[in-house]
Amino acid sequence: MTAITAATDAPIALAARARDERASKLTEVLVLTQRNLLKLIRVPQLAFFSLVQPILFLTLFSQVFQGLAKTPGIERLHVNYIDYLLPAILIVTVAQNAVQSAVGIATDLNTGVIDRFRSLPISRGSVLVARSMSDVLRSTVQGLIMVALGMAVFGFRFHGSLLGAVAMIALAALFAWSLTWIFLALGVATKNAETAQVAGFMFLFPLMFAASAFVPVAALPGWMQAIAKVNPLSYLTDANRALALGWPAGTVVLKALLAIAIVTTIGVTLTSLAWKRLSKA
Amino acid sequence: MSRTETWSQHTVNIIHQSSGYAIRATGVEQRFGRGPKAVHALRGVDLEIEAGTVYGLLGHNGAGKTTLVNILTTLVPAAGGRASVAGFDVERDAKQVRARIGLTGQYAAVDEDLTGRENLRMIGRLLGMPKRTADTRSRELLERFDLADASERRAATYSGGMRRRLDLAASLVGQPEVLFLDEPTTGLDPSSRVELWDVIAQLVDLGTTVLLTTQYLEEADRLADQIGVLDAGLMIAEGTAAELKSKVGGHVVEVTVGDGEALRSACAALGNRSAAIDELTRTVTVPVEGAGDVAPIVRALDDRGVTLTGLQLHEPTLDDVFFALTGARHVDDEVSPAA
Repeated sequence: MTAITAATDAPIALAARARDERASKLTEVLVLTQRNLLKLIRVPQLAFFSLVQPILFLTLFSQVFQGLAKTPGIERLHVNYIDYLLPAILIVTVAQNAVQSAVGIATDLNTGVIDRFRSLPISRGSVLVARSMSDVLRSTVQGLIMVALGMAVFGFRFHGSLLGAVAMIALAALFAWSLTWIFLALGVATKNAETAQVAGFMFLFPLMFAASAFVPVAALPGWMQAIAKVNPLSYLTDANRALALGWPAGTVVLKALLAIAIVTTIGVTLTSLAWKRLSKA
Repeated sequence: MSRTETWSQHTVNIIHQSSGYAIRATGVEQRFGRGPKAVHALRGVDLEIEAGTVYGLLGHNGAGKTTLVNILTTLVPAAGGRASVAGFDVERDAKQVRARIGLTGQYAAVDEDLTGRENLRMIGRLLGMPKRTADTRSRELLERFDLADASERRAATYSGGMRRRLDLAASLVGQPEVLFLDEPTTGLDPSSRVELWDVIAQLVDLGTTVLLTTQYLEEADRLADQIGVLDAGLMIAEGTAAELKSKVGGHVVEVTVGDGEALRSACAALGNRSAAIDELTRTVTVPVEGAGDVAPIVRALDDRGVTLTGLQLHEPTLDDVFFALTGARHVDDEVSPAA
């Protein structure tokens, strides 16, 4: 090992560091978020499929469910089916992306990177908050691609105000963020990327279909209606749909925000419980 | 560079702050699980490591080495006992401890998707360094660990040895007072191992306190001032490498024979000199002072008409030390140190 610089050339301790000088929580979160995003870019396949996914979803869902436009429940609304569908697919897509949070955190836990972070004098929540931030950013970009594509190719039009359009994207992003916490809990608890992914989708699939996303709740069988009525995806879909179609949105948006608050509370609680268990294993 | 402090001054400060001991632990216990299935991973470990020294914690897999490191690095709370690192209690003042330690775990905890430079910069920023300081510090460490040429490459493309060096560099970004190296060379090929030993030896010269865990007696011997032997959660011996080896004798002769009968004859020939008999490999181990003691052994065997299939003179291994200390061969053969 001749190439390793001799000790005298570059002393390890060049400057004494003020030991109690800490990174602010904001810096911690920013640095870690940047790290997560860099990882996303560095794995080109992941970045590629993340971008293709919304295109695929929009194409498939809009084609497969076209027939539904003829159901009386929807015909009665006198809207273009794509205008009815896209706000819902947006919600479904960000919900699916949230599963990636479980995969991301479980992978980090397995590589020992989290142990390194935990041995640093940083706030323990920063790692998790950063993960939620980077995942939401990714979801938001995907959401924007979907809306742009919907407008360019599938004839999607906003019937509401510009503010409504912004609110629709913002609600989707907020919902993605709240769901991220549910899946972070799952990822931390399972500590296994594959398990987390399978469990995540098992949890998510019933929620996707037992909701107002593809057909009106009234068109669902009774037992599914029961689920749909407590399903946060329904509330988010209703709010987004109202915003996109220019319907009165005040109440539905409030309900959606309430749903987000409830999901966030449950998710953050579960995640911190799972995180605390980490230090006991 | 007005805030620059020489390393020796730095060391003096450390010693002053922690009254001579960089690590102190009394009666540390750890249990995993509950009820009858509970595993007692640590059963009351005491430890005193002087600042500026290297302590080698020697033990097989499952002896409790990593468990102890996890407690001292604040990753896991102990079930009992007390421990302080750099003068701070690991539970009460965990953040102060974390600001003063570096940890290199058993698996290189580097981010594979980031470049070497990005890995180090990230740690610097998380330690509260301004961007420029984090940059300077990263560059310094990359050069020092011979990673400058690879600094813009993703760590995924690094060799095992390079990853360990990057991992070690990452644990040094914050100029730790106490460095924990948990089996730093496990899984490395012999030349990478020697490389890493050189790097660690340099750190030691600079006065960093190091707690090193290892399964290799040779490694502890090369690097540590003081060695503790951990077995099933208990510290069964402590001392310098020379002190531990003197319990085994300077060297070990391993006599291997062809069958069970020959093994019995060999034992009879060697009488009370034989220290350990392994029926599975038909090997008798005999501690000796040096090469001069080999001839009488061979003669004694020859007199009995024992045919040898192998004869080896080597330095005592961890297994030999364990045998001398506990009188039992370790059953966990797959983890016995590689030659």
